[in-house]
Amino acid sequence: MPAPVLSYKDIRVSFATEFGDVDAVKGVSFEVMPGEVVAVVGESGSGKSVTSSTAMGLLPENASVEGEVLLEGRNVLKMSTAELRRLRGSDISMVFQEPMTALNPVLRVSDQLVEALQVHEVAFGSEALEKAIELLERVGIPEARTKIRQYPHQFSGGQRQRIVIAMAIACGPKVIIADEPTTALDVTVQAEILDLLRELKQELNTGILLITHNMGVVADMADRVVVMLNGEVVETGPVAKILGHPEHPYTRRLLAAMPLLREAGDPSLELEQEQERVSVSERAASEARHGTATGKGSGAASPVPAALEAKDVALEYKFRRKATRVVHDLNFIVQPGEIMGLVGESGSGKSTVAKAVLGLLDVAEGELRVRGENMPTLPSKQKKALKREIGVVFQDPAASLDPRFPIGDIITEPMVVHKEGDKNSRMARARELLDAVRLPSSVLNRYPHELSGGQRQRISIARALTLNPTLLIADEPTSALDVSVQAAVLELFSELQQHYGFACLFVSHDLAVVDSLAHKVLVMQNGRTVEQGTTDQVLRHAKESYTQQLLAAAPVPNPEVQARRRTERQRLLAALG
Amino acid sequence: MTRYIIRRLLQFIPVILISTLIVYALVFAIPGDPIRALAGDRPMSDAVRETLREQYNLDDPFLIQYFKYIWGIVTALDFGSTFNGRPVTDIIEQRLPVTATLALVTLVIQTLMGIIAGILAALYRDRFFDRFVQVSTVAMVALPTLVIGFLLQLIFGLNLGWFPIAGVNNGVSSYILPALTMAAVSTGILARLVRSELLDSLKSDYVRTATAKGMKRSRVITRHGLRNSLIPAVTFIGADLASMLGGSIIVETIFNLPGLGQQVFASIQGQEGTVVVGIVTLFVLFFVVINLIVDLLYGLLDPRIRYE
Repeated sequence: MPAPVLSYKDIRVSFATEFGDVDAVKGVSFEVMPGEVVAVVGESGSGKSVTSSTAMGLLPENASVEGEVLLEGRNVLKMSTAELRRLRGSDISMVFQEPMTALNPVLRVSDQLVEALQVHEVAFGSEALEKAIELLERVGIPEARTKIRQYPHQFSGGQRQRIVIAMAIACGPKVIIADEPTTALDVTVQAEILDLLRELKQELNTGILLITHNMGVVADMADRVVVMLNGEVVETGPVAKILGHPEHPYTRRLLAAMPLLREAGDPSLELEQEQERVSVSERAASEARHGTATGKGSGAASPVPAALEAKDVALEYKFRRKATRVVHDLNFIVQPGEIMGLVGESGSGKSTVAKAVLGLLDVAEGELRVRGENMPTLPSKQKKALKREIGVVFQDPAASLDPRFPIGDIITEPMVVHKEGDKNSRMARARELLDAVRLPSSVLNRYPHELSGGQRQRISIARALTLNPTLLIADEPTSALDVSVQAAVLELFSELQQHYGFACLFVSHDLAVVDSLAHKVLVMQNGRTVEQGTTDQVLRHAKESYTQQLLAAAPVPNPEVQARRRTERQRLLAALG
Repeated sequence: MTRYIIRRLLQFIPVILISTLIVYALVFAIPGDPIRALAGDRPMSDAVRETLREQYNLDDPFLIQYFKYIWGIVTALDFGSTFNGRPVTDIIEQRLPVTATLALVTLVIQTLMGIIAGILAALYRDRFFDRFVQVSTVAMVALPTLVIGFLLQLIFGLNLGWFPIAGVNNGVSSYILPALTMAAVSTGILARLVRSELLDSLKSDYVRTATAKGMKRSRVITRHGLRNSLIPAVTFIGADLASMLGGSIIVETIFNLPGLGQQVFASIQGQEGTVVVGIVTLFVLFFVVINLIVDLLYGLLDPRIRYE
């Protein structure tokens, strides 16, 4: 049996803070073999990043570490600064989560790559530059020779992550620590980066310590899994066992919380489809009774107009009188009580659509009808009245709640804006809504920073529902949350939707989340509609190759299924050329 | 890039026109008759007075006076003259070197002291030097220029006798105390700015990446930390250099330096409108040019900024 390349032995880390010492890691041990991928999974605060960065000596100054980190038998924790420095980047290197900020914005890519080679005296001068170009080619940057002269901002997020990987493999490390390397990336880009890491690992026989919260990524990459909770390892074992037959209740909970992209023939689908048929026929019947709700005769002529309708909508961003069209020919209808998932990768224009519906962006062409009224052309008074009907939940609850407002004021602010109710009725409404999002009314006088991420997002939802809107715009409402928190928020969201019956435009990049919630789906790419239809049609019987690629790229938390999906994806991509 | 510069240069025209108009109006609004003031206590015949008034267009309505003034500048580069008949350009030519030297020495002092103090404070965060910088910079910013000037004169001029107290007869050393006085506030602000920017930049992801490459701490700081944190400092230094001419009014008066600032002050008292307008216009022109240079420099330091 070969010796482990990296082993953690009884690692304990505590941070000195003004409120006393905080134990972040409480005795963690595991090993990484050469050429092996070990995934450390856990939610935020589990200590997974802290544990792994002890191997690089990259912890902040207020951290104290006990135990042993052995890199090929040498204890990293006992090393001098100079020894540690020689180790970093040569024997052990790192790939970080945020490719957008991991590279220095004011230095050329060539400088940053060459410097990685020169520090460890691998190559100098023009030789180093040649080697850097080779590295860029190796990680799949086209036209590396010319591109290497460019600055980081001239590359896309996925390309920047490739550059960071090129730096990490520059000196042929024995181990790479990849800390959430694909979390900030689109699914199709994520799949490519994971493919790249897998290839490099086989080529260089490098051990990879993969830190992630995504069980799909684990299934795709890992040989063994370490599950962490509150600074301790709760379960460890081969990937098939951990994902297939988890023993610890926390692992089970974590897996259960993962939203699943169900394939055709999934038993849970049948029941849902039955319900769906009923509601569709009900809607069809109601449409038949009232004439087409989508017709021109809006307002009084049709009693049940669509909650939201886009007709040949085009949207533009203007900069110095130059307009850039980012959304073209958009058509869709969201019926009352219906959830439409708006899916696409970054730059697809999905959030721009949400912005336009909220009236934060002018509509360049076409009609955007809210309850039958074309919102952009309404006089401002009526527009304001119509905006009452629209609630919104944003992605980042930490940023979308004013830190200086108590929760009660946050929830009742929409009523203040629309001059509704008095102080007492507003507070009563706030209590009612807190109850609906299952938070105690004692939080009324608390401030956002006193709540957890999940609780804050519940507050955002409560605020969105204050005026009892008929339409809710949710822009990636759960993508900043941990999976178990996401699961709880999604469940709550779905219950509230059934209870209040609002229609919803649900913007998301996560196909599995959309699958669990939406009645129908619209897929966007580069500002154009690729495909739309019922959730089942789009996500299980996709006609367009782009939708198929998106679906194929989303990893599922089952190693066998994921391995099959990977080959299928590669076949699909090969077929598309 | 060229188009950007041309556009910026064209923007100079309204800026200068409006600022000269304002200054002109202010001078115009000063009560009293400048000719009468010129004569002092001596009697002046009405004929002389009328001739002088006509020569300086004093009887025209305000706007006509202004347009005649601008017309003179545009057609003949004639910035007018004092009531003694001395051309304003002459005065500027004589006084500019003093103010320029003062500004330059001040710039060198505040840039060196501010940036070095800021860097050291950031690197020795929460240690003695950092605390010292924090406290002393507050004092430097809070104390009025007058007080600092007198303190320096007292300590380094009178008691220690290291530097001359007033005048410009001792070469560059004459400028040390005035420059220190003028640099005080900006050095304080700059040190704090560099300190906080460098601390931010040392916390950034790209500095972590550089450390993870195995680079020496000193290399990480100079190559990755400093460059990014100096970008805001450059903006500040530029804006400050431009506003230094205003500060020269007080400092040149305290230290009796025969520069533009002192001249402006004297001319305001003597109601020499043309001189005030001429010098202030020069200040404004300098301000906009420096700002343009800073903006261009910014684009050079930060490749993400591109001008169209």
